[in-house]
Amino acid sequence: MILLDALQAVLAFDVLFAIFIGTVSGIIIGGMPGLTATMAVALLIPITFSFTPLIGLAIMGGVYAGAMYGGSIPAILLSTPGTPAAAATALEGYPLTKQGKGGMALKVSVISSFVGGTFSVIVLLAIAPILAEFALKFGPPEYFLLAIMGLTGVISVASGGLTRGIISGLIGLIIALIGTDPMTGMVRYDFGIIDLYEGVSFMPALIGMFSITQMLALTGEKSIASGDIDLTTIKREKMPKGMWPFIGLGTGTGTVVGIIPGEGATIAAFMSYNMAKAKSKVKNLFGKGNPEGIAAAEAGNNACVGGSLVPLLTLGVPGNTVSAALMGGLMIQGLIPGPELFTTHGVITYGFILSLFIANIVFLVVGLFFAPYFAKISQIPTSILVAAISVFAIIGSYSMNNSLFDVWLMLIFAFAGYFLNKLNFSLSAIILGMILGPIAENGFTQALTISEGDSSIFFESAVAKILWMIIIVLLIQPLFAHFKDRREKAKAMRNE
Amino acid sequence: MRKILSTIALCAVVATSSMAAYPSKTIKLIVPSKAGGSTDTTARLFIDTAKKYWEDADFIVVNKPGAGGLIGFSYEQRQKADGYTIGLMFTPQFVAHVVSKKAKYTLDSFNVIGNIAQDPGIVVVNSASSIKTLDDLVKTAKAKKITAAVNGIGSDDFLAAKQFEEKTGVNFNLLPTKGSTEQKTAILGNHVEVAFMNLSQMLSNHNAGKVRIIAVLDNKRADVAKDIPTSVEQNYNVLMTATRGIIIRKEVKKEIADKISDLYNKVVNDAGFQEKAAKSFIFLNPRPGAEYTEYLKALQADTQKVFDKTPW
Amino acid sequence: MINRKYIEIIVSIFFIVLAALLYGSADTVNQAVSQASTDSTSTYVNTLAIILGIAGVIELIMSAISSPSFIEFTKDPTKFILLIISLVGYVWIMEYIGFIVSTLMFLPMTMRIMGYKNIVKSILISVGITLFVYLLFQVGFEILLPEPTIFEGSE
Repeated sequence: MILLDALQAVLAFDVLFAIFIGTVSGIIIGGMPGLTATMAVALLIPITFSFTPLIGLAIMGGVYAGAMYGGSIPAILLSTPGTPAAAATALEGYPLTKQGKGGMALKVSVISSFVGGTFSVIVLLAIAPILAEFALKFGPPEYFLLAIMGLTGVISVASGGLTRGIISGLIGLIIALIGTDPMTGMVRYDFGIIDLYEGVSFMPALIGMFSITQMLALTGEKSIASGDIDLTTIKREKMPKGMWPFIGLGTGTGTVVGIIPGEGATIAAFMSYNMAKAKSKVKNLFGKGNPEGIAAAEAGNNACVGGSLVPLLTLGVPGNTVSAALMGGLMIQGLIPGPELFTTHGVITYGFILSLFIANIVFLVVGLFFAPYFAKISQIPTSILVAAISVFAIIGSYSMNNSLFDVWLMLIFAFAGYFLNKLNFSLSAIILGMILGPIAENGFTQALTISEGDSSIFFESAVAKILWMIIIVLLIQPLFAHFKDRREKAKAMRNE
Repeated sequence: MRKILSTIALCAVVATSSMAAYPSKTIKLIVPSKAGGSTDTTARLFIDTAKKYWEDADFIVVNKPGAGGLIGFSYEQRQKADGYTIGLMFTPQFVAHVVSKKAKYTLDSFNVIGNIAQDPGIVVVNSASSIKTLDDLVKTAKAKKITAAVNGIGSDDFLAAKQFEEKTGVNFNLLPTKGSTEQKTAILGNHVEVAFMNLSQMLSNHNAGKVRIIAVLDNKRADVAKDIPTSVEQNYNVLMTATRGIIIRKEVKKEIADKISDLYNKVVNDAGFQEKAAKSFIFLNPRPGAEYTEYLKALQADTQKVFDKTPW
Repeated sequence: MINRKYIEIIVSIFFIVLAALLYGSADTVNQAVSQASTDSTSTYVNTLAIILGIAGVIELIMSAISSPSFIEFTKDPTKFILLIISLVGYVWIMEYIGFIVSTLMFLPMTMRIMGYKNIVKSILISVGITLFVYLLFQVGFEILLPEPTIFEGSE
């Protein structure tokens, strides 16, 4: 029995140690903006060559799983997502921290991450080859519809009115146009700046609009959280009730989105967040610190870990940049993605998958243990915090492309974002537009290129039809809620 | 306070940049693509081996991804010509940017140290496809318009497809993708009929029977894929190979350039490097500077011809 | 305190102008790819422009009929502006004097701006943070942080 052999291999001391080291470093990498799991795996590739394959892969898998969780810690405490995937978490986590409930938010985050991560690994273990076939059903038209589905989220993240939400989303989509036109290869809207040929980098925009804007807002405050935070109170604090449906929702969404190559954890987190809001009974709490949003987003992004490995291991199609780097890590050990991975190299492959289970347990234990201590960060005086976070934000923007230009971009996004936010434009909607813009445009233009201009291609496949239905549901729900909300407000005003 | 700090800093800087024997400080290897890709792995394996030969030296990979390598190539050109930055480059994009006038550099801006690896172009279809040879492809493409996926405009895939169109008179519906992963999905999922790619990207899928590589766009069969016929064997003179090499700025002093050339020779002939490269599907093809420069010049002239007909 | 109404009108007009500039900007002819490709790109861009234009006009009307109100941009304008200046200054000098020195200057200065009184402690914290970032990024992850450029001769 391959699985038992694999289990035995994983439970060796050196492998367990490798998983532990990998996961803990992953949490640090994820928690530090600018350090990415991709970078870490790339650094590890030449080094792990001298290790046994399982140890090498266990470290890399641990880094991947740990980093996906780690990103949520600074997102919740400081509105500084350590990874793009944690952006949606910041939307609910940071308001909770401001209310002094950072410890609870961290707890929800780590438990949701654990459930999402573990479930997706079970899926990977059980039915990877079947799911890989599903992943291949996604062609350009389906990608376009998926992006539209994600963009419906603009309505749910927008807090300052529908039109402003739409304008915010469009700003994001328009910023995403900058750079090389994917169809013609010509550079457009680049203002003659070579650094813009590849487009506006995402991480600087995210850090600028999420992190530095908050630092600017803190200039008038003494500390992030008002009131005293007592360690023992946080430790005793229970998980809020009713989280499980949202964790489940995020897990399902994340696993499916993760399997589709080219999508990724950021989109999965936002989609899960969007769906959680559509499902929630307390919609008006969203944006003001609703743990339901954290549960869905964190389960969603961690569920991508297992999901993204499905097409990688079975077909050699990496779902995102981390799994592309992981492919390098597999190959240098002589492990070529494909069916052989599950037969000839079964012990290593299943061992690797099992090691991800353990990585999830490691970050669950570490996360739960440290949550109360992390939560204390929100009580550090802003005079120190603002200075320190600014340094991390600036170096985080720099190190993605080793580019000071990106740092300037980050500052521009911060100042413009602060201004737009004061006018009730939604920065999350801008971010959503920026992530989904390239996918939407690419899907749209590629689909029409394949069909030579015939737009019926968007309605042909079964997957496309299902996606249309989800889009309609996701659109009607919040629109209905929006108008109902306005009517009630108007009624309330008349009554006054 | 600030005065003291800047004095300390000044001392530190002067101390490190004083004229010691080369190499006395960290050598940067500029990689014009993202961390974690095949080009990046080539660079990391290279410096990993280089450390063995230059024990005192320190190497660091600096990723400067974007715009088909243009951002990285231009960055390399803007660095100081002191031999402490070495650039990795890849063709045909390196010369294609010169041809399309996007680049501020020319071939003359650099001293070409040598070629490390190559990756021949391929024509690939889904294994369920009725297209089995290049003849089939031409026949099918003449009967109805078929979609061919290429990795972006101006890439090696695009140039190969354009060459193929010109030599055979067919006209593809070209689908530019972002990255080879999209091409892979398009072929595996039957969203397009054919793709122009590189051997390393599809070899494992070909061996697993998921896709069929119908031709390697080279003069001779690849050592790792003896079963796949070349384009020349099938009487189509369409050739395309992506290469990866090492460059430094032209102005770097000759003694230092010679040292770097020597290091390059040692690394590409290192058995450990060769083994790791083979496992990573990096097909080594060491060619020294002079020979590789001639290749680049010829490639630029060829690319120019394609560009003059259909500019992009 | 700034009047919200007029700012909103200006911003709405900005978006309408942006939409107008965007419309038609992607109508290109390119022989390298098929007509369907370039057409679809311009359809995409034009759609964005049209929606932005419509949304901009709606916003313009809404803000024109809204009653005047005020926006509070910041609770503490002095700190706010000084923080912006020190951020911009930090990035600007980093290009010349490198990461270490600029950070060692930025941190205590910003802490002072934000109201931290204990100078000795703030310097100790600054050295700690700088060292931590340097060790983690440059030594641990081999990411080359900005190096000083002014002291080196030009070539």
